[in-house]
Amino acid sequence: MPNQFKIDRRAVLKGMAGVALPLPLLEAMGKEVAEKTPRRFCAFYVANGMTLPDPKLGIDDWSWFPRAEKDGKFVFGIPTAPLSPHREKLSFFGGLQHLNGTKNDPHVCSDMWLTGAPLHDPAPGTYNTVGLDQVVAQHTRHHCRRPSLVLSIDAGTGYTSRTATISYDREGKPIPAENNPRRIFESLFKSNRGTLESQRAQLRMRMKLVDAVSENAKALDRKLGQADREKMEQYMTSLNEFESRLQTSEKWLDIPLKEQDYSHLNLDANPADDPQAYYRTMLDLIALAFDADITRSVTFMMNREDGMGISDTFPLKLGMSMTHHSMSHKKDRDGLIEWGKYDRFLSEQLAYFLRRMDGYRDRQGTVLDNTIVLYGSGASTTHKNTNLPTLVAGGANMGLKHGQYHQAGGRMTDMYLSILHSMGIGEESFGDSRGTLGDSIFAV
Amino acid sequence: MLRRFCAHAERSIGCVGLIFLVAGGAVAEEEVSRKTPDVFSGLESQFRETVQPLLKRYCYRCHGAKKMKSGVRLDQISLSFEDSELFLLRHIQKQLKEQAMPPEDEILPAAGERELLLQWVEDALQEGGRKIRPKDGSVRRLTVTQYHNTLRDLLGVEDHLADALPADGVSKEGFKNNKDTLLLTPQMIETYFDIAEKALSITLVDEGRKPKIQCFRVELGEGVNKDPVPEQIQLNGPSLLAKEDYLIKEITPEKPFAFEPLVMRKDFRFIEGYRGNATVREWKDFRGLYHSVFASLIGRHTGGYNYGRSSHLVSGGLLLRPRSPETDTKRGPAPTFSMPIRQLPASGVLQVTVEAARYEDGLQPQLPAVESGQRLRFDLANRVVGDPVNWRNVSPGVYQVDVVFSASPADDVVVAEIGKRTFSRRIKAPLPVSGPGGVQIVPFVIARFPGGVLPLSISCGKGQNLSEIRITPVIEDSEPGRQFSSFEKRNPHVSVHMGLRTDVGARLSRFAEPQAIVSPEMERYYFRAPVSSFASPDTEEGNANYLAGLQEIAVRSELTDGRQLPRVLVRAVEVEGPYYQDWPPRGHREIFFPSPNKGNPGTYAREVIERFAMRAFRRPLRSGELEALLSVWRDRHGVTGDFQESVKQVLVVILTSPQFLYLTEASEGPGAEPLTEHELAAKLSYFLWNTTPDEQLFSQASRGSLSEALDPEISRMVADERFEQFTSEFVSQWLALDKFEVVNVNRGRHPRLLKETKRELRREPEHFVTHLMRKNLPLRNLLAAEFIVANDVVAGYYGLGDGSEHGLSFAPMRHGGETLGGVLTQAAILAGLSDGSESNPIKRGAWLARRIIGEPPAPPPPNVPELPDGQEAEGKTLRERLEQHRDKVGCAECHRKIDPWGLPLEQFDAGGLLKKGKVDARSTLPDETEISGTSDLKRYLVEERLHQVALSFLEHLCIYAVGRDLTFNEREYLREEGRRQLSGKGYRMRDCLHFVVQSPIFLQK
Repeated sequence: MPNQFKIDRRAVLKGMAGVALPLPLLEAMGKEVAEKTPRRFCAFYVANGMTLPDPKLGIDDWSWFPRAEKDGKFVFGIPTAPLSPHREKLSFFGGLQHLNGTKNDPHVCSDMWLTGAPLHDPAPGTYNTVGLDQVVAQHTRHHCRRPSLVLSIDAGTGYTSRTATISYDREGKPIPAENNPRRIFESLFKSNRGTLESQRAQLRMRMKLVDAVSENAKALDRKLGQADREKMEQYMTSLNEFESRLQTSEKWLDIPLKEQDYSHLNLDANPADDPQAYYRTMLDLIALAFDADITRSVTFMMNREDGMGISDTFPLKLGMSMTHHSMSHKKDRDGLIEWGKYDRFLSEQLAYFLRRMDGYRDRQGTVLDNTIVLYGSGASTTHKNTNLPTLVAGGANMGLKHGQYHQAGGRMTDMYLSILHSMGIGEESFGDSRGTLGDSIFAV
Repeated sequence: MLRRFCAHAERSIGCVGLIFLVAGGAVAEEEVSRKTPDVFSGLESQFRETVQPLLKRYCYRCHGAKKMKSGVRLDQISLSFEDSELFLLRHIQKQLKEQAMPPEDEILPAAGERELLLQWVEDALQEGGRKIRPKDGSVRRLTVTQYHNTLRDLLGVEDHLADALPADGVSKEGFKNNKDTLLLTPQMIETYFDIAEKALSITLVDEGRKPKIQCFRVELGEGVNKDPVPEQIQLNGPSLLAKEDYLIKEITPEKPFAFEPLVMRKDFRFIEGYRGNATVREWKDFRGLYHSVFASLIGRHTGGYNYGRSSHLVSGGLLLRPRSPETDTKRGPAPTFSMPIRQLPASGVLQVTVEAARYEDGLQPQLPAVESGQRLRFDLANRVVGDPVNWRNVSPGVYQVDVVFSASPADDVVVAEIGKRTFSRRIKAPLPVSGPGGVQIVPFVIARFPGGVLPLSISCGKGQNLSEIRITPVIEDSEPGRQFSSFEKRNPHVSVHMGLRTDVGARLSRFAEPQAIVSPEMERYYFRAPVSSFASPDTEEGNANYLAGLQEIAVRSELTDGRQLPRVLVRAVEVEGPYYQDWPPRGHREIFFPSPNKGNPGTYAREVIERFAMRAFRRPLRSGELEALLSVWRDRHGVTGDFQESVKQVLVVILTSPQFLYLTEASEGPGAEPLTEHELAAKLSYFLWNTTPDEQLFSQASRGSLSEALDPEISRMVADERFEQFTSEFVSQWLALDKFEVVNVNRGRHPRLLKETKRELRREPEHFVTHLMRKNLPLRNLLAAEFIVANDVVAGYYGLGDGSEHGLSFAPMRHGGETLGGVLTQAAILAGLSDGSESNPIKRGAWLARRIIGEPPAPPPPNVPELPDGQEAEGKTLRERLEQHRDKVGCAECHRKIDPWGLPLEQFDAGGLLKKGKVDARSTLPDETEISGTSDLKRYLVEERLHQVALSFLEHLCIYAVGRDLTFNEREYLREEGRRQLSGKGYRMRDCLHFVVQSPIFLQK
């Protein structure tokens, strides 16, 4: 479809201007904070697919996807009904897929959800490719305190095909996720304690030490093999990246952190005891971070594939009879309804998040209106990599027209490119995209 | 395997010997260094002319670009002789030989074609094996565990600071120390900086300052507090001890150095909130230690099980029975003595001292004593309940006391004071034993009594129907006598737990390993742990809620296997923190060591920095390194003039440098070179201890004598307790014990697999392998041992409790059974490979194939159909459903190599115990051997597949030892040399370790 290439050039350029022009950093940030409404992105991943009952079973109302339209409006299924108050700020996408997905071991669907990478045939020496969130981070990092926030139900990276993170950096390497609400809170919000000057002194001391470490590392013998030189490069890259974070942090010291109400946070929420309290705390933290413009790119892997990790047992803790992975293998009526109930629980969490985000005001509109929220799974039902259950919410101020059920399908990566362009990020392509997703909710 | 190979050999080519000849040639890297041009071009043309067309005809359809069944592609063979290609060729060779491929329902090659392919593959393997793999040194990040251990050993910091790092990735063999899965991110760099600073702030102290130490003591006992505070002590819940029964005081511990006792805060002003924050009343002042430290009992009465009062305050202290097996309430397992505490140090080590004795307790018998002429009777019918009678002229010895009721007693607890001791027993009517005239007899206690006059009083509720006490001497050589004698020798174990006190209960975690209370005399038992490992209350300063910000330290007697244990008498609990053995602490003294140059900052800084950097980098410094570090010091010292602070900054640099964070083997060129002595010391140390080399290793390396003294050094390291830091990592990763940790046990079906039991079972494989290694036992024991290595909990779980008297320590014991012994039947493994409800032969089979016999199955293909469920599965056993699944096209091929290994273990349920009743555990192995069940499988593996099991073990061990995947030739080396050097003595386990270390795979870079 050639018209997919039709991008509003002005929109792209306008977006790029705020990003790429080499203004002095602080000045650029000051302008950004003062004059422009932030554009943000977050992605929530649900493992194991979603409930999509066989029509023969006669329980279509338990489908995660909405049913056909009625009075020009789609009808929410039972699993997504909790989202109905937000109808005007969200849309469903049917028929999307990663072309590389079907060529793969189905379990890698979470590895590639945000990247679309050809994991079955990776480029030499690589594993994955950069994820959507990290492209966003790369373009928004200088406008906020943290380039991105990578969260997951289980900390760390997991491992290939059973990943615990959905974020991959520019080298295609997994970014370890964080899962402890208290630690996340402290790293995001506690930095405004203590006097600015002592923080500045600390940062400068740190920068000096990083310099020294860098010098010292150079003294290390260069007699290393090729592969091992790469390890050292990884070290040096990480060190440099850290150094640039320190520099950014120092600049940020002059801009006080937004005053916010943290009283609703339950930082001791323990997923082993209370899944809902845990999810809500994590979602609260994301909403707060967006509201304070600490970061503009967030991922949250809400559960892991194939029964890995603590979230697999959540349905049991919620009084259901099976683990998440087991229910995702059900094809019978009762099993699917059970699964649908858990999907509904997850929808409730998303609805909670949307409500919070819609409650925070930006300079223009609500924080939700300035955030594109991507919610979905890397498989439709178990091990099927087509028709990926996908929902996009928010972003009205970026031209998104909601309340639609887009059933025309297409490439996930095309949709991702639409997201980037909507955010004013002028990438030419993303992954194996051929253009933006035409005739959909996106203006570009 | 061999048998089947030979069977096929008749139809194909040569015989088994040839294979090994071929492989043997492949190993000899030194002999031929390059591709042999003639041979190579011959192979190449043969490939194009005959081999490739055959592959195309018979294989590409499934193993080409489109389908890639089992992830195998044969259309990409390029004669590159890359390792991946050689492994593929080895795989093809096996498939051809076993006639496993092409599958029977495909077009099959003629015998001659198969022969031709096989011959070519073997030639290619031989040629490929000659190719020298460049050895380019190695750079491997310390794992999180290694990093933690290293910081602890370098700095003396016990705190688990490394927990802030993300968990390490897992390699395909299951290991966390693979250099390719050990990533580094900017976030981690930041964390390394944070940790280094925190660790050094804990280690380095102000030498001129006296440390502040908090110390208090809580004494327990009936009426021990003669002068209790007048006001009511508030803490929600009925669990507080009566004010008269505990005494809290701040005390000054004896220390070999000067210190300043920390005076605990005793003035508080709170708006009370007794039931959470909701009930806000008025501002109130609280004064005194009794609002800072509390004493309470979780499960103070019966604690849910049948032995009588679970805890009992007596004049000498608090008697605690072992925690009950069933109750694991929100407040924690009962009975537990717990101290909510308002103030504790934020960092450093906390010492909890429990002053306790093993109570000279009585055993509760099953049956009333047999009538004998020496029986004494005390008639209680007309007495006031609880009034003592005197038991006179007692001769010292063991007696059974029975209590008689004139009619059925109420459900209650019988409590007796006999001499200076207290016994109790819970009774439930109706009693099992009735006497003549409707009397009911409670078999009460068997105990050893001193001679003389013993006052004896007994009570039971309101005393309904209490009629008589009978005392009967117990004959040593009777069943009750023997039972009492082993009971008397059994030691209870005290554990300390710590956690956050919240309104809905405490979340207690084990503070330190439990200790056996061995003496009937009061003794002090010390428990130490870093306080930062436990959740801190994290309240704001000036918090106004009485209940907020309380931590909790708890003491209890641990249950072993449910057999009766003597009670523990706890007289006092003391808390001291931060705990310093000496001052300045060891870590500090090792950094700022005594030197004649202490007065000269420049010289001393150089000494201190060089010394520390050498320890951290595990080698002498290279040119430039010291200067770079010193310039940091000079800069900083020039600005602040603070010697210690400026050195500290340099130490931060050292602890975040790649020289510290990475284990580096620097290579001069692509040829194989020996490790330097210091590289060897580090590699060995991180392999066998998971930490930095100790002084002996380091000085051996510095003298250049380590490589010559490897064997004795390995033996020393295996004997050292740090060796357990190897087994705990290696065994749990190799055998995938993390699966057991996360398995969600169905409590209804496996009621005995409780949290605390799981904890002990989880440790069984580690103790087992440690034992095999230390005793250098033959490898067959790994799978089929006549013993298990167990403590009472583990033995009890397997139903062997009566044979074990080791308390919570692990020791070998004969199991005398058919199926137990060896890792295959350890509960941690069998239960870990289940879903917590049902046993799962696929998981078990895949695990065995992968970890034990080294025949990893291919990963599951796309679109795996689920196991038949619902109607299709109606009336079918799991086994039959598996067969259904296996019979599906596309499943059969892989499952043929997975399920048969798991089916023989079907005798065991998802809890890892033998199933009741008859179980069909027959299996036909991939080589068509018929196996009748678990013990037959074990026999088969150790008798017919020992070399293969040994190779798998060696491969896993070696991959772990070098922290990377092995090359084709290295695997060949292990196969050939392992067998040659180790099989004669049955692959003794420690010998395997020596063999791996002494191999070029380990010694060369």
